Amino acid sequence: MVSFAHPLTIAILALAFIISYYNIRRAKIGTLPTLRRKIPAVDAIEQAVGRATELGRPIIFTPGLSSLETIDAPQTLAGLSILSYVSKLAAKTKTPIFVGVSKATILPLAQEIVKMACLEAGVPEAVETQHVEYLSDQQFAYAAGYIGIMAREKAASNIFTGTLWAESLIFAEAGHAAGCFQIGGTAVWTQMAFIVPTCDFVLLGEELMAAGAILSNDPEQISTIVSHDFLRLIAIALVLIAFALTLLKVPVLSYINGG
Amino acid sequence: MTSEIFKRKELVFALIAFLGLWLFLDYSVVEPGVQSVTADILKWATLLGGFMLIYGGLEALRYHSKVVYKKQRNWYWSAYFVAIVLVYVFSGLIQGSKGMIPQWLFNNMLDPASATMYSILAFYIISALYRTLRLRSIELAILSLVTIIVVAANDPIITIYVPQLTAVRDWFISVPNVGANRGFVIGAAIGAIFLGVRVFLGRERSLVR
Repeated sequence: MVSFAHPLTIAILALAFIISYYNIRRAKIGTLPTLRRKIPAVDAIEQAVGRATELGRPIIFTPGLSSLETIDAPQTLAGLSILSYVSKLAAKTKTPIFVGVSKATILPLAQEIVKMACLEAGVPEAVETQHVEYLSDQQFAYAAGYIGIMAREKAASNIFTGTLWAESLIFAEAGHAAGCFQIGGTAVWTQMAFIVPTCDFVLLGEELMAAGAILSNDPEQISTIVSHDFLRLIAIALVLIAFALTLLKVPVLSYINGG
Repeated sequence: MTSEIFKRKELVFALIAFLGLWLFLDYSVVEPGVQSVTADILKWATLLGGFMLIYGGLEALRYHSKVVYKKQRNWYWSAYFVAIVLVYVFSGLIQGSKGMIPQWLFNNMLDPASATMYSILAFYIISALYRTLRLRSIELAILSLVTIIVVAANDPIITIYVPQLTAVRDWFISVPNVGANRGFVIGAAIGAIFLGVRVFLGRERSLVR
């Protein structure tokens, strides 16, 4: 007899799959509502690339400190999907890009993304001017390497999206000193207080996860953001129900916690 | 021909979906058979991680050797990097990771340099705070006000004269801060679930083409 360890988690994931499947079907037949809410930081990516092109200086990008085999993998994936868009724009405008990677497992993925972006943009020769560099697994060696490239190459735009810890402030302040246009994004709560005041535009938590889908302009990917909003409404409803039941002295929270 | 089959994106997505769902199964189901397969998968992941580290090191060496060979701008920094890596790797291979040279390099170069980078944060926090206090927007004005209250409440001299600040600080930390934190975490978690769903369903095309 198989027993389930986390029935609530399974139910939420199953619900997420069902909602996603339903909305992907709607996207295929064209009945999905269009996205109305704009994310300023997503629109600013084009501005960041444009600024670098105008100034004739490179863009510097990092998908963060984490890798794909940890709990922070979604943030890294989100960072990489933003890299795909940035490198495609950079290839089209023949703007050099420097990508600093902190985990060796991310390196081939980032190299392939940049290479494919150049090919898809129809500028295969741009691969020569795009640099993907493995810096270090060590947090501060990686940070030093990244801000070193930023200063030496006189980057015009600094885009750092993914899992960021103490290095987020180092990137943002060094970027400010180098005169970079800055877009930061992470779902690490503790770094928000550093990124929000120091960057020109910020991708906050769930915006980071949605950015790749929005930038793809693919209705099937965008449909997952509609699904996201749907599950968010369910979460809000659950919070309100739990709040009301707690006020009525029904021990719902201790029941969920297994008490 | 065979290599073309392995490059097919459907195969890559199928593999990602299978491994992802298997690890989720391991998390959700109490079944020793599932756990033993997961242990094998994780061993493969560790092995792959080890190989990738070698690949990363070799790639970094290749990149910087090319810069040195072509005498590109700032080539001397690349030459310094190549020299340090070679000394570290060969001394480690000969003496082992606890050998005198690798230990000396770690204790006298890497460790102090890392500590220095971390220490720079103290100055960066001050400069970031200064820029925050310039009140570029309503949100930053609120952030600045709360920052001033929290910082002042941590100062023993100020709290002697204004003891109420401690209660205000505690309220900020335990009520609006925790509320915003939970909203942020729930939103980010739902976002992560749907990013995962996109990957599992093969819709996240920016990663595998």
